[in-house]
Amino acid sequence: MRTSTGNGRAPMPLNGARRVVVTGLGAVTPLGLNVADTWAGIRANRCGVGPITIFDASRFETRIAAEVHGFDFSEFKAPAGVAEVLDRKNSFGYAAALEALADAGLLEPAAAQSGWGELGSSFDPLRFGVSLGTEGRRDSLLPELAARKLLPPTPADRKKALADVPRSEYLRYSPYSLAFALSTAFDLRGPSSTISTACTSSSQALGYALRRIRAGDADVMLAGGAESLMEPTQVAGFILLGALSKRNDDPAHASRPFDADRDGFVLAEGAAMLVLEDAWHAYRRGARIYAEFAGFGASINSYRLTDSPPDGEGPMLAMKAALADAGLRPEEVDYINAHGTSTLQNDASETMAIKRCFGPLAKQIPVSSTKSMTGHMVNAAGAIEAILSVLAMRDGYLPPTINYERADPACDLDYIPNRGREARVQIAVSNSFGFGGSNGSVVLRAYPET
Amino acid sequence: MPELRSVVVTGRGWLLPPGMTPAGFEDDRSSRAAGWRLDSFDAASYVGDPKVLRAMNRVFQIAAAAAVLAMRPAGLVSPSDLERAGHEPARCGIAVAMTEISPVDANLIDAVVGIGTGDQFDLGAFGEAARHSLHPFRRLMLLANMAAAHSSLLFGLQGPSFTFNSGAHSSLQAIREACWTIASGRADLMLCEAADSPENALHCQPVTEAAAALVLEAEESARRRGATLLACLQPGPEPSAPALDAAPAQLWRRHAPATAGLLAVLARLSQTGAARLGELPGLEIVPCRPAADAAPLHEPSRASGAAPRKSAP
Repeated sequence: MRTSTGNGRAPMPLNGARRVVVTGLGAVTPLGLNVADTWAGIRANRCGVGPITIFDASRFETRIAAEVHGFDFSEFKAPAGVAEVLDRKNSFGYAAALEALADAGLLEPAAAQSGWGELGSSFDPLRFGVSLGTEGRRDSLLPELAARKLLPPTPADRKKALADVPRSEYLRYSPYSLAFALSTAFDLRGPSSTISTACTSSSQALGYALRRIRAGDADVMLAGGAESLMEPTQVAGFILLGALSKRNDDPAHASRPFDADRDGFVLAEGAAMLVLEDAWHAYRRGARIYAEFAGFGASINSYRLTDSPPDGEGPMLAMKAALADAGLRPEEVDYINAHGTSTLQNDASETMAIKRCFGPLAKQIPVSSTKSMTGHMVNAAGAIEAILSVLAMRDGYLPPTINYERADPACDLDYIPNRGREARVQIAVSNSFGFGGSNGSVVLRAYPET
Repeated sequence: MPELRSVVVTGRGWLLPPGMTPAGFEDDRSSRAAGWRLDSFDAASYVGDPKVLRAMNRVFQIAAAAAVLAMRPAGLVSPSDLERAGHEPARCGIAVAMTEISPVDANLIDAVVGIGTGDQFDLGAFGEAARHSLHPFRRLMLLANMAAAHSSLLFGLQGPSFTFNSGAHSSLQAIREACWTIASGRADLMLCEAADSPENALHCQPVTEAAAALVLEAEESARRRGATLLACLQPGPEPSAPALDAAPAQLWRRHAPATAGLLAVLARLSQTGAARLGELPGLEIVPCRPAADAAPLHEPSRASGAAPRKSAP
């Protein structure tokens, strides 16, 4: 097991409740195949957006995306029964989970070597759970359909063709197949759940994990999300909604949150996983503690199916609920990692929500959207942005919003334009807002408090 | 210890192929007739606006119908009802358990068949044709959280909202989370919904069509507005995954996995088939106390290995 020295005083229970800390991080993103490379990309203002190469998108209206390059899942020796249920996004999820568990010092050397296996013997697997934000399988659908001849003309023939599909295929389509794979590979037998709330999924998955540890249902939770929507029918679906940027000739400048010339978001793929742990549990085993996961809040818009509310009501409610959950006042927040998708509506709506939540202080709080660099990782967005917020806190570095060139009167906060900043961060808020109006806000606190 | 508020059920609704009487909960045919549909279902009798209905696929329509059935007896069928009942929209949320929604739906198959199949499939042609042949809301039809979005719009709910997609664990997770959200004071009302539909599912056992909903409220606010209290719900600790898997199979679990847990709760409320419907891990249903005895509950000890709280006699 990796030796970690620990870095803190013993955690004090807050209002009688158990406190939850972040002890491991893992990521696969368009900027890198692990957390260190991703963070180095962020610190270098690198943008992961380029032409779509996974399929021939030459006649699609949007031909750009932030793809993961150089990922080879055959390097990961997942057990056979597990590997066969993993599609592209879930392979990212598996790799990110492995990194997070190793980072938290939870893998026995044998397991770290083999890529799977039981965790250290000091763990009760019944108190180690999984909380993920993903959806069903979405990639490679058309080739599969064609190859498996799932396209006979009559409904009866189609039904018969579907009945011939092997059972493992169905598990590959299931939204909970990644939870199944991770519990099986690492023998995690605690609470297990999968949340699907579009762009808010993994943020809410973190919130659910926080609850499980606070309530004493688990001591450790592996939480995060995985995503890949690089598939023709999915890209076509987003184009039909008018949500994607069409800046095809200038991909590196297509994701431009809060900029006046933004024209939609850029789809990205990848995965992000966090190991969340009861603070005493982490302290006793001498774990390195990145930050405290101090609070979570959720809401729903009741506005329109895809549009963001111009008054920012739903997003504001989520931020307020998260701060209340953490027992914090708005003036204590040092940094906001915005949802900031680079769509006309979201960025204006989020700006309004921040102003309504923080009042006159809003203009003094640095806000940035790391989607300007990573693109929009949809189901994995909440988890990767929580990780980037944790690292911002650790390194005292606020990532910028790149591609910010022209101010929009509807977006008038401090978006950390184009250049990152050195700053001490005690409290960070990370926002996620999704289609269907699902909102989630995560509050992180530096640990130990200084 | 922070006090936990008491949670009561004030509305329930369900749609099952055997019919909308409690007898449907234990209809044996559910385990044999996979792919059973709600034949006489008429979405327009629940959701009046045809524009809204066009943005829903079948599973969202039946989920919305169950929600309308549950909200009717609670007297909360529109955003204005909610406010009239003294509820603040931001303190009324939605917890949903959703079936696996397959991307291989009739709309996609038709669009792809129209272009040509097999090795001849031309992605470029698909890219151009998709604009006309795919449903404009296709992406939204695939999102599990759209059931919550529609209910949020129908009833004006803006509070905490979650959508579980954990297979057969989903509806009990949704109910437990909704209970806790109210008990801990984060909301006063939570609508719980669940739905399965064979038209939208790609599943090794074709699912039966089913939808169910419950309205949960804080006991104090429900009593204040004179609501009928059907029962009290007490969430216990979240069981481990093997404990959930090992729980005696609920009758509907195999063919309506997302809805099964909610149907089991409804069966308990109807006092029917309780014994045959299996246990409800991490959830207890107890009769409501007379108004005079109503006092806040205290948070149970949740230390490792603690037994779930025993129900009141």
